[in-house]
Amino acid sequence: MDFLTAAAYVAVLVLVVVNALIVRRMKIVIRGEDEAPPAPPGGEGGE
Amino acid sequence: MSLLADHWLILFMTAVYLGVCLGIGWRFRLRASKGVSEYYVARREVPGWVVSLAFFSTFASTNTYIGQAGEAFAAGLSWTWVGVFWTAFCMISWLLLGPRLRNQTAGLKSVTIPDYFEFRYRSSLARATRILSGVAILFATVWYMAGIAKGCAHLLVSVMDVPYVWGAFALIAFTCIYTVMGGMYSVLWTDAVQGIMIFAVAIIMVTLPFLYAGGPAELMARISDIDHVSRTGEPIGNGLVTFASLVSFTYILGIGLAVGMKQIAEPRCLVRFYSVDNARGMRFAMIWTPVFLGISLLCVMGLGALVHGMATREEAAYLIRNTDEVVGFMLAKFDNQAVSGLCLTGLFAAGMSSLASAMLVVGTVLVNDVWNAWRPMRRERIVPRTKAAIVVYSALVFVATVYPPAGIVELTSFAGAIFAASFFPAVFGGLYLRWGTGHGAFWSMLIGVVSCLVWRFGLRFRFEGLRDIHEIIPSFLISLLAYFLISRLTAHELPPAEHLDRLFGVVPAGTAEAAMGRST
Repeated sequence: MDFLTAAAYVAVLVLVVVNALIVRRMKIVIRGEDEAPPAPPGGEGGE
Repeated sequence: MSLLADHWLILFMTAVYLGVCLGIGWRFRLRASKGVSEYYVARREVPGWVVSLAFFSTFASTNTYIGQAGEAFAAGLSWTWVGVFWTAFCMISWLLLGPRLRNQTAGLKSVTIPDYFEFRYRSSLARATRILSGVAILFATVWYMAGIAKGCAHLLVSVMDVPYVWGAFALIAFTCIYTVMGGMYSVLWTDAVQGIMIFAVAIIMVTLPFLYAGGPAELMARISDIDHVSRTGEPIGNGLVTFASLVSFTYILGIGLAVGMKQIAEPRCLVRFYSVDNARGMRFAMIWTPVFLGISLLCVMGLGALVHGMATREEAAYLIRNTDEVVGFMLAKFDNQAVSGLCLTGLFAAGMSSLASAMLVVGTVLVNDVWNAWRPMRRERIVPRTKAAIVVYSALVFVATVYPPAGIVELTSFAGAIFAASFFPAVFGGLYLRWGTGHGAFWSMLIGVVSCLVWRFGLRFRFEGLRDIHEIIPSFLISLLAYFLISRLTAHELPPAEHLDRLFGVVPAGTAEAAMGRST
C-alpha cells in the first residue's frame, strides 16, 4: 500500500481525536421549548 | 421449504431482529400518537447516546455497506478517502449545526426542516420556501430510498436466492410498519439498536477476506499485484493499493463531498438534532458519532478491494461491472451460515435504519409542510394523515426499487447533491447569519436544485473533461453564492429585530430571559 492510500486510515483517526478535543473545550447550552423564543403566529409545530 | 432448510440460521437471526424492531414500534405506539411533537420529534427527550447511534446508523446505510464497499472493488483501497471526507462532514455537522439547530428549533417549535425555514425567515417567501423545500425532499428521497432497498434486495438474491422483488417488498413493508407505529420514538430507538449492530458488522466484514486468504500478509500479497481486469479492461496490477490509480481523486472527492455533505444538509440527519434531551447528551453525541462512523468507514470503504483476494479472474470480471453485488459475493464465497446470518441481519439493519428515517421525514414533510401549508388541517388529523402518507410513499419507493434508473452509488450521491446544494445555505445562514433573508433562502434553494440538474443532465456527461466533476461541487458553490448575494440585496426582507435577537440569544441584560440559557 502506498503512502497516500495509507494516509486515509491515519486521517480518520486524527480527525476523531481532534474532534473530541474540540468538543471537550466547548460550552454547550441546550434550551427547553419554554426557555427560548416563542413560536411565530400560525406556527403549527409543537404542542 | 428448501429456503427454510438451507438458510434456517439466517432466517432465525433475521426474525429475531425484525421482532425487536416491531416490538419497539409497538412499545412506543401510544406515546407517539399523542400529538405532533411526540410523533415528529419525540418531544425532544431522547438521550444523546441514542441520538448519536441513530445519526450514525441513519447515515451509514446499505449504500455504504453494499454500494460504497462494493465500489472499492473497482476503485481500490484509495476509496477509503471517501470515508475521510464523510467523517469530516460528520464532525462539521455536529460541531456547527447540532446545538444551534436544537435550540433554535425548540424555540420556534419547529418539527421539520421546511417549517424551520418558514419560522426562522418570516419573509413574504417563507411559506413558498417551506413548500419548495418539502417538494425537493419528496423528489430526492425516493431515489435514495430506492437505492437502499435495491442494495438489500440484491443481497437477499446473492445469499438466499430470494427473488429481488420479494426481498425489496419485505424490507420496505417491515420498515414501514414499525415507523408508522412509533413515529420518531421508534425510529430513534430502532436506529440505536441498528447502530450497534452495523458497527459490529463492519468489523466482522472486514475480517472475512483476511480469514479467507489465510492472513493479512497473504491477502495483501494477492491484491498488491493481481491479474484481474479493471473497468476499462486493462490489467489492474498494483492499482488496488496505489493511490488514485483506478479512479481519479476528483471522482473520489466528488463522491466524498456529495454523500458526506448530506450530513450537513439532509433532513433525515438534521432532524436528529431536534430530539436531543440535554447538553450532556449533546456533548456525548458530538464526540462519539464521528468515532462510530469513522471506524466503521475504515472497515468497509476499502472492503471491495480486499474481496479481489477471494475472487477468481472470471468472477472478478463479472463483479467489476456489478459492484453492488460484491458484498453478497463475499458472504456467499465465505460460506458460513452464522457469519452470513450476522452480516445479513446487520446489513438489513443498515438499510432499515436509513429507510425508516427517510420514511418519517417524507411523511412529516408531505403532511405538515406541503399539505398543511397548502390547505391547513385540524391538528388532530396531522398524525393519522402522516401515517397514511408514509404508507403511500413507501409504495412509490417499492415501484422505484423494482425499476431503478441507476446504480446505488450514483443514485444516492445525486440525491445528496440535491440536498447539499439546496438546503445547506438556508440552514447555515439561518443559524449563523442574522442578515440572511427568506429571499436568499428561497432563491438559493431553487438555484441549487436547478444547477444540480443542469450540470448532471446537461453538461457533465456531454464533455469528457467534466465527467469526474460531480454536480455537488458547482451547484453547492453557486447556491451558497446566491444565498449571500440575494440576502444582501434583499436586506429589507429581514425578520423583526426582536425575533432575530431572541434567535441569536441577544437578550436585554437584567431581564428574566437573560438567565434562560442554562446548561442542563
